[in-house]
Amino acid sequence: MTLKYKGYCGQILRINLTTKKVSKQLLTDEHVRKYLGGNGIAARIMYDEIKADTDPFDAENKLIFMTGPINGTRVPFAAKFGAWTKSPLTGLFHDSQVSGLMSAELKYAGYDGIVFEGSSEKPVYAWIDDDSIQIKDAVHLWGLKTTDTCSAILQELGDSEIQVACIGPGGEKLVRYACINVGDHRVLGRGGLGAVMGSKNLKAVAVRGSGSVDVADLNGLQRFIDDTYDKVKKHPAYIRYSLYGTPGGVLGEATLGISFGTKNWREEYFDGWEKLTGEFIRERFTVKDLACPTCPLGCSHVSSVKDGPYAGTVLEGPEYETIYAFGPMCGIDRLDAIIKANALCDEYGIDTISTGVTLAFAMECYEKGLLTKRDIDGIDLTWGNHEAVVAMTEKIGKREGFGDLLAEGSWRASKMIGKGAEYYSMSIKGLELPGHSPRTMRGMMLGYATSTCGGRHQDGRPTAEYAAIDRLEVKGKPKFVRDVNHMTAVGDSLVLCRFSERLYGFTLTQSYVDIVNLVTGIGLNLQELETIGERIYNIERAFNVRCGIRRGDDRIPDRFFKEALTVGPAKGEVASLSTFNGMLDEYYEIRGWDRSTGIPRKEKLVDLGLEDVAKDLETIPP
Amino acid sequence: MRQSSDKSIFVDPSKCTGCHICELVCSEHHEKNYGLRKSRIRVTSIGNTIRLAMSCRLCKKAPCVASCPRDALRQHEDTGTIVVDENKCTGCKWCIGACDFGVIFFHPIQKTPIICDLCGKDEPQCIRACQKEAIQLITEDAFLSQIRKNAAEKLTKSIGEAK
Repeated sequence: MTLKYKGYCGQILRINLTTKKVSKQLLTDEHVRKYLGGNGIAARIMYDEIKADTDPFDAENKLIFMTGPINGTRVPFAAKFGAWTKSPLTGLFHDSQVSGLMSAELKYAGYDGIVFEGSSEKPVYAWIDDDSIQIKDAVHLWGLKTTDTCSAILQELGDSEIQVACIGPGGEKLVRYACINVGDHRVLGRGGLGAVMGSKNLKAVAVRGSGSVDVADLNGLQRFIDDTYDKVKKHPAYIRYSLYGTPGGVLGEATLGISFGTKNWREEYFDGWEKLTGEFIRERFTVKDLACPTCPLGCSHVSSVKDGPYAGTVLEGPEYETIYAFGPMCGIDRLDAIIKANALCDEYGIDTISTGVTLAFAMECYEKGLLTKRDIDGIDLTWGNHEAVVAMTEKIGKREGFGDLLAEGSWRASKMIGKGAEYYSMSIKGLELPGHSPRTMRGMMLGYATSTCGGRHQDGRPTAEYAAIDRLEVKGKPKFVRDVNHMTAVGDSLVLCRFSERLYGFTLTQSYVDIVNLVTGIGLNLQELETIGERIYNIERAFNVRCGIRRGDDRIPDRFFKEALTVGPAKGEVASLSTFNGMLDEYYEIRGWDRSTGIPRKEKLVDLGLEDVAKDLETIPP
Repeated sequence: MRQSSDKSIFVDPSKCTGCHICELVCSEHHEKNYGLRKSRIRVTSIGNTIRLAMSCRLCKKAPCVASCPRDALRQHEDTGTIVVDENKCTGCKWCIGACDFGVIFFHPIQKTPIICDLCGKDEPQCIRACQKEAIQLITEDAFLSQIRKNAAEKLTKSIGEAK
């Protein structure tokens, strides 16, 4: 490899599933300096190679697996692996990250990433074993749930330490929010990446590598790691994380009375919250503490249901978002039922957030008389009916009966139901909202509306507004949201766990610079790293602009402007449309995007070294 | 008098989170880069609930040493670690088959066995890096007394609660 910088393998695999042709693309120094890794490189490939009119399920759509320079090393929180594609929910740029050894294994095999192109006629899986790349028959695996798929492949290949990413029946049946599972309970969860994999007839990807990853400054890196370990040990938030994981957040949200979206976001304070906390889980359900590779704290906890109708269900989780989506959103205060629904989602390979939020949507439509009991297969979708929620989750995974409609996601389903059902789809750009409040956190409101992926919390981030800054403050928030966008773009390029943000920074800091330089030797300064983040976010935006996204699409559901909270500590709080519009104006202004259209201005793109993109967007109608 | 060879690596499965830090720091220390298959300690995972880092047990009658047809393996007098003479070793993997614990690994490039050497004169890096204090280099006496203490605490606590 000719790449000058460390941390990279220097090449990307291209696997064409139509022709079964495999080729290698070399990374260049310039590529790395401009786009850094995972997110940046994948966004550039998407912009260059996926057309505006390509349907996400067309063979021309591409599914990109990508790592970053730190993956495979001991940098704390460096165990993420990412996938990118045009989402079947949003029709836009989308990415998702998952923990585990997949990124390390892929790099040890010698590849920074894989671009899957085309579509196979029959079900196949890819087997990457160092230099040997095989496209293997998967007809016998089609129809298998995710854990069975993984174990069948491990048995077939004869090594239990191979990393496997696969889809379940949900991905095969093109559930629009199907995920890609990596191992048993870890998923590339959001945006329907698994459905794209299913549309390509790609059941799984198995990877084993015997090589290694070099870094530029090993001694410096060791000091950085020791320092990080020290800080983690003393950090109160991390101490809570290691005990309660993400569900540890429920207590704080209930105290504030925000974010625990209840009955389809009508409210944000849920009466049964005390039975859904991290503390409650640890006391009643936790049987083992786990950590992702490289993680000094370990926020993962294995739950086991010991009695009741769901006895015998064991899984890693449930995470906060799953508790939110199946719990208060559906009016359910039973963790055993939530764990069961989570396990079903994992087995069928569907996103817990979109599944739960889509079910909450259906429950409200049923309550409002927009759906009859006949429409919903006689299943009584009333708030709190956990049996109905569990039964309907399985139907979604199978695309059976009413589940077939819900498998389209709440936004498309609302269009098909009509009668004003759109109001009840708690989604942005077609992607269902996670459990962080756009109604009561001003930065989150703007972050959601402008996220290139729609309703998710990985471009705008809620953490600072919970922990460090005034959530109701408007002044300075547009700039803060922009800066957070650049942190996430860089973080997803490295590819770094988001829970490092309390330590490395909510926005880009010297810590991120140190990580990049110690591992790669590129020698960037903070301003240059900031520019990389901005470049990446603009490429994503440009991709979406070509797909038709304009200012009018950058919004949050009307409910948050129209319905004030009526219960809990935040009673009376509501979002304001004029405040929102003012913040959006300011955000576009700071970004150098046109205020009336939301299209990045030519000067901004040229400044970022994206002359070709500037030229493309010149001819785009406003 | 006790010798350093009376100490072994003990890993507490209730503390091990399967974070792989021990493997990465092992590769970092010995290879100056990162590769899980170049590590002399390996995390074994079974299902959702079992994670256990495993490395050389420093057997008193080491079957790996006895098995080598070329006498390429010997046991270090002081530390009890297994030393591989790379000039004699042919890479036949017989020692790997002889190990009852699956903790002799095969270096993917050098094509010779790699075995935990307790990091020579340094403190074992896996112990230093483990953030859950799950790995210890101690005598079996010390290990057992810890277990007895924990068990006794549990027992007396349950008696207290029952009363």
